[in-house]
Amino acid sequence: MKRIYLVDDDVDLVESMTMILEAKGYAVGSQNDDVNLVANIREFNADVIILDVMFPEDDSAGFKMSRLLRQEERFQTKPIIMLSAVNEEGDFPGKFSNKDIDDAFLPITFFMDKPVDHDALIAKIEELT
Amino acid sequence: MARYTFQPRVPEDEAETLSVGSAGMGADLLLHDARWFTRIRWAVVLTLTSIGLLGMFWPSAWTESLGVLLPPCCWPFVLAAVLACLNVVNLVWISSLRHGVSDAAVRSNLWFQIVSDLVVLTVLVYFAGPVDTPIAFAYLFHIVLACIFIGRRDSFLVTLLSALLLLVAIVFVQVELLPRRSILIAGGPIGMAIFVQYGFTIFVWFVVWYLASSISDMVRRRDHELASANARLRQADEDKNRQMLRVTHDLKAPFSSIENFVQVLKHVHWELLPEGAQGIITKIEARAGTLRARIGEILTLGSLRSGHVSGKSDIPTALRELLVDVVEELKELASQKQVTVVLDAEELSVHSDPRQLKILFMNLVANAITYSNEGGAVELTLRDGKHVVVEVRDHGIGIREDALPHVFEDFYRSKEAAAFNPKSTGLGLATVRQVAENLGISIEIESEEGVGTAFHLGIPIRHHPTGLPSEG
Repeated sequence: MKRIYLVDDDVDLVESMTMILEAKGYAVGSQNDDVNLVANIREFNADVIILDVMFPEDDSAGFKMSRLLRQEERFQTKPIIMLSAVNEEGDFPGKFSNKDIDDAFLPITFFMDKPVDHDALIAKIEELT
Repeated sequence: MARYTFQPRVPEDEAETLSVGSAGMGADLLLHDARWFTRIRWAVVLTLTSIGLLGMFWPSAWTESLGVLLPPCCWPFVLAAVLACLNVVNLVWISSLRHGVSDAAVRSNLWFQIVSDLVVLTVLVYFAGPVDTPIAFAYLFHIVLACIFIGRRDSFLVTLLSALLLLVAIVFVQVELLPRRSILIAGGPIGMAIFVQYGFTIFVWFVVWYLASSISDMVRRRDHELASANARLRQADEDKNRQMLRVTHDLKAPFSSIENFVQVLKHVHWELLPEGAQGIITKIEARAGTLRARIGEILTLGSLRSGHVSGKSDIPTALRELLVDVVEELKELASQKQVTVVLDAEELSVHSDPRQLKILFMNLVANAITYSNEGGAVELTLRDGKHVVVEVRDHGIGIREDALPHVFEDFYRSKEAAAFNPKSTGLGLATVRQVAENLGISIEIESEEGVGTAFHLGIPIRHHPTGLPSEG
């Protein structure tokens, strides 16, 4: 069973995605903040990590989380999918896309805009695992 | 073929200069000036009275040795009395003009003051010697004051009137309708006459200094008051926009949650639901999606207006690459409508804000695709010129001539557009206009109903962000 770890401050989104992913046969772990993020993901032994970008206390927390994860050797090749409404709500509409993925600035595997297209997300998870 | 042109606003500094020059000051400010003129006039009354007293009591032999003839009779007293009477009339008149009075009422009083002053001055000029002395320079005080207080056209009339009155005085003397007068003694000591003329010149300088410095102090105070009022208005507007954005943003989350849970129903429980329930859920999903999209558009437009989106607007931007991205991102929409998007673009760059430009192109091209007929084509061309010109042309439903001037208004949809695309929010072109305003882009629309529409954008090669909204 593939293991997906979700990090998003939107409780409803985490709940609905958990239901959908579990129904598709994935094991899902989640948290709504960045507390003990690396340790939690290590403990959960995630195959894919799904991160939000904007958190209430920091509009770019997701970028920082992805850099933090990549510092640990076991997460350096782990698929990280970033979900965000940053293109609609952030200071930079229309700015981020998969072309901006960069080992230093945006060290993730794939970028998807919110609202989440669940079929596309599941297809991407399958492709990456 | 109907046409409509949108030009970005003149940057604020220039706009303010134009409005002051053409419209002049407000009635309350003019009223303040009218009171100031009456105070200055008392100083003139006092000066004339002093000259009259000098003429009566100062030993004339002493001034005559300097080549100056003190007024031999009572004309300074008469002029002082006339001016004093006029000033009393003015004070009564001004006191009847209350705060909030019309501009025309204050202007009538100002013109009365101007004309009466010029007539009294001409009499003074005649007695002092319009031909033999530099007294005519005294008209300059009135001309300078008029230029500052009553605007270009009216001050030109004051200049003409001054010239006419001086001409009358000179002609009357020259044709001997009036005896020739002068305060300078003909054939008097030349050396002293030079010093008298020097004294008068210095007097003119100091009066001009007093007038100009007093007026510039007033103008500076007004500038400061206007700047404070402007800053308060901007702050209030920004607060209102921020509040509006926050409320709109808060509305977005519930619709996203509805969509997410609808997805749960569709992915997890769909087979368990009866067909009727599935139909209702599909409608809920569609409506929630439409509302979320509409909120997104309101947020984008609000951010553009508040300056939230605006950052550096002189970033080198490869337009062809930007247009390729836009076409790529709208591929799905185009394919749904079976519309072909053709891009014919030279490799051109501008210094602008690529984020705002992308918002503009996304809206214009999406609009062109949306209002094209199925199987139609949208053509994007990019070419060089005085400005970089981008053309977005469709062969869709077109825009009625009487609707063209309204297409950039918030929430405006022509009847035809609303019927063709009921989901439209009417904010797409308002967003285009806002970006054009922010980046100094001109837009010309050519359209013919049933034939199609072309948007011609004139993008400055380098944007000077004077007119950008401030950072929010």
